[in-house]
Parts: sequence; C-alpha cells; structure tokens
Amino acid sequence: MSLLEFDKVDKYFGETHVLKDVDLEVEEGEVCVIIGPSGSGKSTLLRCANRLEEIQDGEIRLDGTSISDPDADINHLRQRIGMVFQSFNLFPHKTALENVTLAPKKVKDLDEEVAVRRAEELLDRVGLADQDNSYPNQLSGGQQQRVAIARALAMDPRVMLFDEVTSALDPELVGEVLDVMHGLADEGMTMLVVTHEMGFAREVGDRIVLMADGRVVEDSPPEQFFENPKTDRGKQFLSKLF
Amino acid sequence: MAESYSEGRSTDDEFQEQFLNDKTLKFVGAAVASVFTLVVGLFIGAIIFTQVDSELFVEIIYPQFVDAFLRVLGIVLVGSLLSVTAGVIVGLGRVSKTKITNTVATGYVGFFRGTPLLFQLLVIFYGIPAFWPPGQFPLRNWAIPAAIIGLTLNHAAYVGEAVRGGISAVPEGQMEAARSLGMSYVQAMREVVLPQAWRNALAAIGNDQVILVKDTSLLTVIAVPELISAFRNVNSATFDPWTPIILVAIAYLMITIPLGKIVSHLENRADWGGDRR
Repeated sequence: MSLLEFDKVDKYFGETHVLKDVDLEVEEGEVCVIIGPSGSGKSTLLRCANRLEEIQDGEIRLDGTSISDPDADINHLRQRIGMVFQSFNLFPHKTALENVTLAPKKVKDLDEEVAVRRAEELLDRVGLADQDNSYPNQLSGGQQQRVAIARALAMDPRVMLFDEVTSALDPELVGEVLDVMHGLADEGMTMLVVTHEMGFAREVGDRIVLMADGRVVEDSPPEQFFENPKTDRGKQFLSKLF
Repeated sequence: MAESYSEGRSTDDEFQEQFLNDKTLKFVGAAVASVFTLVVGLFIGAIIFTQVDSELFVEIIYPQFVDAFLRVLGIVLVGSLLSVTAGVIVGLGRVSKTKITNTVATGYVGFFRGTPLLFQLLVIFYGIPAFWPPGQFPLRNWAIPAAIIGLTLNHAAYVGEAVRGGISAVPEGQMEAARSLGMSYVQAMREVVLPQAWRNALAAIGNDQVILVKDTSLLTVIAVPELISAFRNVNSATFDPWTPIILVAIAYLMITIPLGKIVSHLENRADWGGDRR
C-alpha cells in the first residue's frame, strides 16, 4: 500500500472535466514531481489531495484512509498533509513565530512553550532563526515562503504538497526556497511537488509525472523523462522547454 | 481620436493650467480653510457673547444636562457593545454558505436597514407592551430598554454589512491555509479571518457607532429624557434657544470625539509590522 493513492479520480468544475480518471500512487519517502502545461490539472490534483477541492468520482487515500469520503474526519487528516501555496498565504496579523505555532497550539493543543521551541527549531531549519518576531510584510517573498514551509512542517505531516511554490518569487529568491525543499527531500520527506523548475525536478525528483488535459500522460524516472521520454506528449512538452 | 491631441487646446485647458496647477491649488485650499475657520469662529464667538446667558448656562448644566448626558452615555455604551457583537454575528450569517442562515441574515439587514430607526423605536416602545392587557406590562420604565433594543437591532444591520465587507476583503487563501493545517472552519474564522476582517471593517464600524451616538436624539420621541429633551425643557421655560443648544452640541461632541480617538487607536494597534502607512 502506498502512502498517498489517487484511485480513478474524476473532477469537474461545472461542465469542465478537469481530472480524468487519474491514478497515481506516491510511496513513502518519495519525491513525486508533477509537471505539465498550464490548465493540465496539476494544481487541482494537488488541491484534491487535502480536499481543498472535492472530487466527483474515485477515491483518494492517505495511508489507506479515504480523504475523499464525505464522512472522513478531514480536519484530522489534513494535519498529516502539509501544504505550501504559490501565494504563501502567511497570516499577516501574526509574526513568523506565531504563524508557525498557531495550528500546533489550536489544533494539537500543544503548550505555548513546547510549540515555541518546536517553531524555533523549524525556523532555524529553514534559515530564519533571527526572524521570529518579524511580520510577513517585513519579510521578502523567499523568506515568507520558507516560513510557510516551517508552518506546514510544524504539524509533523506525513506528506507535503507544494503548489508552484516558487512561481510568485523574484528569480534571485527561488534558490533559497528550492534549497529548503531539497533538504527536506534528503531527509526522507514524502513530497508531491507541482513546479515549473525543471532543474529541481530533475535533480530532486524520484519520479516525473507529466499531466496534460486532466490526465497523467507519462510517469517516468527523471533520467528517462528528460533524456528519452516514453511518450509523444513527453517529447512534445520537452521540445517546448529547451 | 488621434487628431484631437494635435488640435489647439481649449480655453478651458489654459484656464486649468493657469489657475489649477499644484501650487495655486494648495494656496486656494489654505485660503478657503482659513476663511471658513474665520467665519465659523466669528459666528460661534458672536453667539457666545451676545446670545448665551452665562448664568443660565451654569444653572442648567447640573442636574438637567449632566443627567441627560450620563443617560445617553449609558445607552451608547450598552448599545455599542450589543450592536457590534450582534453585527459580527449578522456579518458571519451574510457570508455563510448555508442557505437558511444566509437568507435570514440578508432579510434581517434588508428590514432593519430599510426602515427608519424612528419607526423601529415606535414599534418596540408602543407595540411590544400592547401584547399585554392595558396596564399589565411588567416593566415600569420601558423607554430605556426599548431604546437599547431599537438601537442595537438597527445598528447591528449596519455593523453586519461592514463585517461582511471586511470578511470578503480577506483573501480566500487565508481560509485555505488555515484549513490545510487542520483547523476547523470555526477556528480558521476566529484565529485567521476575523482578526483581518475586523481591521478591514474598523473604519466603517467606527463611522456607524458615531451615527449611533447621534441617533440617541431620536429617543426623545419615546420619552427617554435625553439631550434634546433637556434642550426643550430649558427652552420652553426660558425661551432661550442658544444657551441650551450649545450645551447639547458640547455633550454630543464629548462622546463622539473620544469615540473617534478610540477607533483610530484600534486601527493603529492593528498595524502588523507597518503595512498601514
């Protein structure tokens, strides 16, 4: 059994069929990178994985427990699925430290002291040990995104979802965020990453999943995908990149 | 319309260039403000020196006006607290995706914003006791509770709209980020969305609360001895309009100006690292 399983998932936005019969399994410790042209459904797939979007058919399971079941205890399941957004979505009325401690305190009922100690560790790990008391608007985009990663990690998730997390950043700030993600991958975090950063996909990904028109069209190891894609869609996609 | 750019400019444009450039505009603004201050100052000064009877002024301050002032202040404090609290609930109802909740909140705002406060006060003051046989209504002093109920119901509708606007202005991603961490809808609202919505809505809520203060002047029609009634009593006994009306103005300003200060203090407190400059 895989850690995260998409089982014949169908998703519609009104009449538009955005995910078509998607099957995908992510193993524990694996870094699965989803790439594809815009509108291919990759962000939607990611958002379905913690039920920010509802699916209309099929099932999504974490560790064998259904996420998509209407009766699922979604607040409990989401604690085990960290998510980082393109637009950071830090809480502007809270300091960096408070952003990280909020959910552990409110959801996991951790004591202030324990939550703060853990948050300091995590901020240190993302290279922001000295920014505890800064508010989001006092931080650069790259710093904000690293706080957002620390915030997601504070819930000790089993899997982390990254939704185009560097797309809103100035080019010179992309590296610091990718470095943090690289470090996480090295420590064995299970990651599902939607990105346009092909260098990162190739270097850090264990698998490259190419989506097009709401379907998974190719699923290969990075060496194979970037050297010699199995499918025509893969070749076509790569030819537009380089 | 490319040719219109090359055509000779109208005299209107020339006028603007000559008299409405940045420098003259600044000067005109300062001049208008000075003349305004002078005229208003002279008018008030003239009234104080020629129309206000200083002996009567001192005589009516206590107990007439102090009583009325304290009564109004009490009604405002309770009414503010209740209307802002109820307004937050109305605002939450307005953004609810549950059909019944949303419809009821929308209907509430429609009615209480759509009918005059005076009508609502009359309905409550005269209408409610009519459910009892004549003389059997249990509250002897019904005017003040009726006033507080009327002001609360009315202003909760306005505060509710301000809160709804404040919530709508918080980006969707805030709720998503909070939910993705495992927080429930209630936790996400309370910890993440409402503090931001509150800041967005503060100016509009403060504005409404100033109006609430002034709306207490309507309470004179349901027999609450407030500031306008105090004016009427003095005026009908002495035929002096200016002495008591100046006191009315002072009394209202003694509430509305500090209220404005409280609102700007709350706004400054919600600064969060200085993005509000």
